Amino acid sequence: MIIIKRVSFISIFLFFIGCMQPNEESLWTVSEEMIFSTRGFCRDVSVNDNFAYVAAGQSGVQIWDLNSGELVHEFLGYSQDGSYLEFDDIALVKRDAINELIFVTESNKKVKIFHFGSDSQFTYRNEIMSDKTKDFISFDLSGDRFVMFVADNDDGLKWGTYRSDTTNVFNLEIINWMPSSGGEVLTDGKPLGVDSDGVSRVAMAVDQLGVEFYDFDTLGTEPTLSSRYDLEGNAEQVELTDIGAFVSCDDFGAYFLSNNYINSGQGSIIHFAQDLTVDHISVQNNIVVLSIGSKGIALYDISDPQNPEQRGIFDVGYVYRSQFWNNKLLLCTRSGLKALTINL
Amino acid sequence: MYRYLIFNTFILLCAVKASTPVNLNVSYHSGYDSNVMRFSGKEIKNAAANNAIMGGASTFDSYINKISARIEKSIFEKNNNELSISSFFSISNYMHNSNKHYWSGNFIATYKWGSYRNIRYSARHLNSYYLRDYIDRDVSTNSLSSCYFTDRDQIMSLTMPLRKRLWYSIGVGYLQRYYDIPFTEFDLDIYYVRIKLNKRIKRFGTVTLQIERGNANNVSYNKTAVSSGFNRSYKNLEWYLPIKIDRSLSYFDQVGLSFRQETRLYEAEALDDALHAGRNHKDLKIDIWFSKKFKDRFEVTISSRFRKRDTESSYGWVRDLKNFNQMQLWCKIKWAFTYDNY
Repeated sequence: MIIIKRVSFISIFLFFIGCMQPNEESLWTVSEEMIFSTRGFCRDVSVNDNFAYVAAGQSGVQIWDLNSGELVHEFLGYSQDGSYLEFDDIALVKRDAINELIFVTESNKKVKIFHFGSDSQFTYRNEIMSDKTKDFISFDLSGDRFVMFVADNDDGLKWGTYRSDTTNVFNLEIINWMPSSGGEVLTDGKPLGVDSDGVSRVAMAVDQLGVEFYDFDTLGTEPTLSSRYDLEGNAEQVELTDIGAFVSCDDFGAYFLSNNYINSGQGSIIHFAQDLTVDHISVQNNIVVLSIGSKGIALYDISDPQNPEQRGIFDVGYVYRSQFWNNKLLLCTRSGLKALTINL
Repeated sequence: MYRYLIFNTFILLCAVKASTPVNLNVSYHSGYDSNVMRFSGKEIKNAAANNAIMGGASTFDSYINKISARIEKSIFEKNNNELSISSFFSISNYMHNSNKHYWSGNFIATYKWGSYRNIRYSARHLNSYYLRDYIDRDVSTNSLSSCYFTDRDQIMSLTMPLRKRLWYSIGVGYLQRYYDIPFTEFDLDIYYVRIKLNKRIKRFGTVTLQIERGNANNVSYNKTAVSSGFNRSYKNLEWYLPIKIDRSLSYFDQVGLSFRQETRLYEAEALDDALHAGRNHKDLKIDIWFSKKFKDRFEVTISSRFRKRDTESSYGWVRDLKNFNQMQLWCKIKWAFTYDNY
């Protein structure tokens, strides 16, 4: 009886000391939900009403239904003055649903305006801004108008308010978007990326010279330079958020500048992902997504924005840029548009 | 937690009420390791240009201090039947490598019912053993982090005689090799079978042949970020041949020589995983030792180990990275005594 008790005791003891549990890292995971095969490189995406407007490189402009995964429209070129012109390499695309427009830019070219309404006709209107447009952002205004800010690589920050202008020539209706106001703010830097909150601020990444912030009173009024911060590396893209600005600086990683720092210069610039080559940044809630080219994406937790924490690098193909769509993440990659879920 | 349990085992063994003595021994080991971080020849050559891989150390080699204690007690004896438990605890400190400081311990329960007839459960723990600094590719492309792992090895074995002075053991084991953060992508569950054949030779000593077949499953494969995308699962086969001479010796009480070779074949076949795909290696360890007892209580053992790992891979850089040589020298002083309350 005694020996049974002792053996039982040892067995229980062995049970307690038996196995161990693996350590769990605080990394997030991603699960690939869907791939939209764009054929050409997917360079940019603009989402409106669950439809993705895709800059598909040499495959032109594509429109995908994000819910069904179907390619709804594909435009490899357009008609202008009776001639059909093929796109060379679409780099940027933005949708203006209110004005039923699609803005398209080929690498280092002007911004082309296309009408795309309920009739699904992809109709060329005209070109605006100037060559060497690297990035742009637009906001619709009441009265068939929109405002656009452009990072013009050889000049600076271009801006303009455009309105629809219809003329009849020999009973042929010609619609153009003409500037009602606008101008440019010259900079010493080489603008590569631009973002705006659409309320009072524009931020522009100016390559070796860092990042510039411009303020304006209301949309459509002239922006004026308010501050400039030199950063290490080549500032390529900037993302404005409620808490400040995130700047991607190529080989030198990424920076976060709080609103307080932008406004007053007080505090410090947060430098993170120093050893990554960051091409683009997107932010939602506490999640920062860095597009790191051939390495895929890197995720950071910014629950404490002063101390971004690494949450993993994920090899999801060559990623140009990303954008949140509902609770999913859309990635522009060389193998198409990818929809991912980030598992926190 | 586990250190607490091992410590409690010590206390337990002292406290268990049984009319048998407690056998204890305490040892001090002084050692030297020529290649603490198992660098390949090419890495050693390039270390001056890439000092970060040293993990803060200034030398490749190090002196080692190690203290250990072992306690054993028979808690049940009747006729030829005996149940005994024992425990071992040690702390090691590499003087020239501040990262390599670890403890290990074990717990063994053995039930015997005759000569060469026993069943044994053994649990061994190795805590946060430092390998070297690696790039944590889950979060970085070039910054290094210290890589540690913890082992929990449990084996149940049965020993039976074959004929006079010839006996065998057969055991099944489960080794959990879990890495500390941030290298959890290397985590392995290793299942193995071990067969051991022992021969006692008159006026000579003991010769043993042990063969172990293992299957390591990379449990964190594809579970986390980019680095977990590589499958580190492997199969291994190890043979071990120790020859212990403890008869007909004029000065020493025991002289030994052992050979241990592990052949490991990685399962990875992914073309983008050049480091593991199609890789295999042979890891050879040759040990030699001399022991001398003084007045039955003290024992001094001088030992040496030579280790050589040869890697085969389709990629030259993988061979250059994974091949290494290592030499260890040890001097152990053991003090054994018995505490008998009865």
